[in-house]
Amino acid sequence: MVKKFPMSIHLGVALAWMVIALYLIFLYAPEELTMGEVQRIFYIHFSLAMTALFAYFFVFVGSIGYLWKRSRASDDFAHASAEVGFIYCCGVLITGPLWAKPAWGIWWAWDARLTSTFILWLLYIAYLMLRAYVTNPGRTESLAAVVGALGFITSIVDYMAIRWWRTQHPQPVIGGGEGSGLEPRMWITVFVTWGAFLCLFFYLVRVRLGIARLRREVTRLRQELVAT
Amino acid sequence: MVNKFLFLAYAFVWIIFMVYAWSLSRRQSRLQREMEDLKARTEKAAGE
Repeated sequence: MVKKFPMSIHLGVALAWMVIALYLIFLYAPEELTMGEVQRIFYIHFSLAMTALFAYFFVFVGSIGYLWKRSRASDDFAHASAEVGFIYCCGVLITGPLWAKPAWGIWWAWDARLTSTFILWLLYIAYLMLRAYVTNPGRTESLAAVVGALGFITSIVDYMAIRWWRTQHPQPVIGGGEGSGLEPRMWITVFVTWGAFLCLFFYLVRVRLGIARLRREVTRLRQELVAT
Repeated sequence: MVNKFLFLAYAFVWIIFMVYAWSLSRRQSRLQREMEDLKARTEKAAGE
C-alpha cells in the first residue's frame, strides 16, 4: 500500500491539506467572542497535542510488535513515531503558553494537564536518549519498548486529566459533556487542521523510516567491507 | 494588526517543522553519500 502512495504525492497532499487548514483557521472559522483572534492558536495547539498523544499509541503498537515478534520493522516504526511525536510535543509546549498568557494572564500552571504533558515530553526525550546512547543490540529495543509503554500510559492520563481533575486548562471540547463543544464552522476547522497535521506526521514518519533503512544498509556494507 | 501571540505561535511551529525537515534531509543525504562510497569500496575490494 505504501508503495502505491509515492513520497512526493504524500508530501504534496500534506502541504495542500495544510494550506486548506490555514485558510479555514484564518478566513473561515469565526472569531471567538471572549478571547478574540488569539483563540485561533487553539486549532494548531489541539492538532499538535492530539497527534503527539496518538504518536505514543504508535510507539506502543510498534514496541509490542517488536517484543512479540522481534520484528525490526515494528521497532523502526516505534522509533520513528517517537521522534516525530517529540517534535509535535515541542509544538504543544510552545503554543500552549503562547495561548495561556493572553487567555489566563500566566504562561504556565502546574495543573494535572500541563504537568502530564510536560512529563510526556520528558518521556519522549528519555526514549530518544535511550535509543541514541544505549547501543546494546536487542536490549536497547526492549528497554525502549518499556519506556514507550510508560509513555502510552502517561498519554492516557494526559488525555483524561481534564476529565478526572479540576484544572487551569479549559474543559474538553470533545466528549466533554453538557455545555462543551464548538460552533459548527469551528468543528470543521478543527478536524481539517488535525487531519493535515496527521497527514504530515505520517509523511515525516515515512521519511524517518527511510533513514532507518539507509542506516541499516550502511552498517551492513561496513561489515561486508571489514569481512573482505 | 495580527495579535503577537497568535503570530508567534504559528511562527514557532513552522520554524520547528522546517528545522526538523532540514535535519532529516541532512541525515538522509549524508547516509546516501556514505552508502555510495561504501558500495564503491566494496566493489573495489571484491575486484582485487
